[in-house]
Amino acid sequence: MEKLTLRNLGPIKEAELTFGDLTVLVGPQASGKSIAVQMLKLCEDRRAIHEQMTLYGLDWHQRWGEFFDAFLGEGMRHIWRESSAVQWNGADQTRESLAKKSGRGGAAERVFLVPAQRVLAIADGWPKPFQAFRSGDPFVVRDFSDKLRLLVEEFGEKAIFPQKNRLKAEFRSMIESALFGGFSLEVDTYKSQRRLVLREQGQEGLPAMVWSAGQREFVPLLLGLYWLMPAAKVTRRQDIEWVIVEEPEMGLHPRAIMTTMLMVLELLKRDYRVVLSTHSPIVLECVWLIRQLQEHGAVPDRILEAFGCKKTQGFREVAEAVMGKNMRVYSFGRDERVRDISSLDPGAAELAESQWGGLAEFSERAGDAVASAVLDSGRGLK
Amino acid sequence: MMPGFAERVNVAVGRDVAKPGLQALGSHAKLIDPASSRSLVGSVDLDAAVREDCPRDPRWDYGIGVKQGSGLQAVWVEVHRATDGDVADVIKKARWLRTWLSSSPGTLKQLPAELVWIADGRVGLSPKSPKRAILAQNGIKFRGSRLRISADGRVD
Repeated sequence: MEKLTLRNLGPIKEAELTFGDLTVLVGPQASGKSIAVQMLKLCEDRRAIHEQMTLYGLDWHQRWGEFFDAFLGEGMRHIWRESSAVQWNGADQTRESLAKKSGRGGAAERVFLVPAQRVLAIADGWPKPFQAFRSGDPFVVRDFSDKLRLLVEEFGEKAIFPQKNRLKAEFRSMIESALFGGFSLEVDTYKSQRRLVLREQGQEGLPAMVWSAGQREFVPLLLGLYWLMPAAKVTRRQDIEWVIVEEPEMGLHPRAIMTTMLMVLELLKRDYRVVLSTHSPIVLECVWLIRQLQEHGAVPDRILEAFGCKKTQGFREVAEAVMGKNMRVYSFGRDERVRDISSLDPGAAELAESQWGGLAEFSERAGDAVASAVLDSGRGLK
Repeated sequence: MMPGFAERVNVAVGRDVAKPGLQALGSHAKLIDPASSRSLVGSVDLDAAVREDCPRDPRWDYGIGVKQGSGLQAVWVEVHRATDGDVADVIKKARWLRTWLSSSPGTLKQLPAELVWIADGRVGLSPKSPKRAILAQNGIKFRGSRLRISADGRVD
């Protein structure tokens, strides 16, 4: 299994991340999750990143500081200190080597990263090209936006969602009810400008500015999933091995998060290796559920029961595939060692594990406060 | 002088059943992790103590006397399998304990109390399960596979 080791990098003191088929990173803001996934992308796709940067006119003069400011974003060179160290599968990755162009062309990209700032990609109602961003904006945001631009340009003036040859019918139906409420996602033209709109049948299209926060977050994610699940008989992008989604839950109601997690399971079924960063207990509950079912040798249908989906052939195939997948969870904390909390054991002695990296901390305290209040009120034992 | 935990237990049960420290818990004593053993003033295997009197009842497992500052509290501990499906059973046991205490002679029922469920084996109850809220509403704290008692007698 692939292993990324990070030491003294930004807020990360020490992290040894051994990746599963699904790997989930949890932890408070600014604890280094985003740095970790960008380092995974950089270690795997260094040549492809250099080529794309060069193609769009970026030149860092082979200087690591300028490269890190261009890749991670303005000012981010400072995360790398004299004591910093990065290893990918046991091999040292120096800052100089990560910034050095190899000179060979045609590098295949193996990591597709959906950044937390994905809403910026369609802030103006249409995915921005790479060069429309400022040069200090993170590469992963610019790259993601550019991929969406190329994708939506293929659609022309027709519905992007729903489409019969994109996603399984079961997923389309769940997305329609959980995310779009009967609206379709389309391309239209307003004063000669193409734009994405949500349209109810027979009504005028609604531009991105009036979408709900959840819809604005979900549309770029949906387009990213389209990119990963090509139309027709091809089930996946052959070169892409890794899919990273930062905060898949952003802006979404728990039912929509469950729908999104089902799509993540579909990615696993298509043999992508998925890495998520999250603040959502629902995401961890999905992992806990699957690990528990695996441990008890449960039938795959139990997954579908938990997600409340119909036991169709399509969903059953996903559930069966997922039962054989390996799942890892890591808890990040500022200036402390990243912990492996993969067993998600609520009875674990370590609070990082029993409280799921802090995501269940409040639930436990709230429960205790209520239990004490019940006893104090006289309805207890006094 | 106020009666201690052991005296109150013995009066409530009607015979000498209280044991020093955690002795009444037998092999389950390892599930209790006190910061200071001096805070533990006695224990009772309530399940065994009242088995003959209440053979068919959903009896609670153990009671532990814990010093809290200058006072004393009873920590009532149930060691039970922990899955969503077991929540209802533990609540039934808590209701039984409440009834038994209120009808028992003496002053055991007057002690401030904590009700704690410790998992017997692996925990199969999600930290985010709504069942945990039901437990809390019944005054029960769930403590996974180990109960820590702080030096000042708090259940952590």
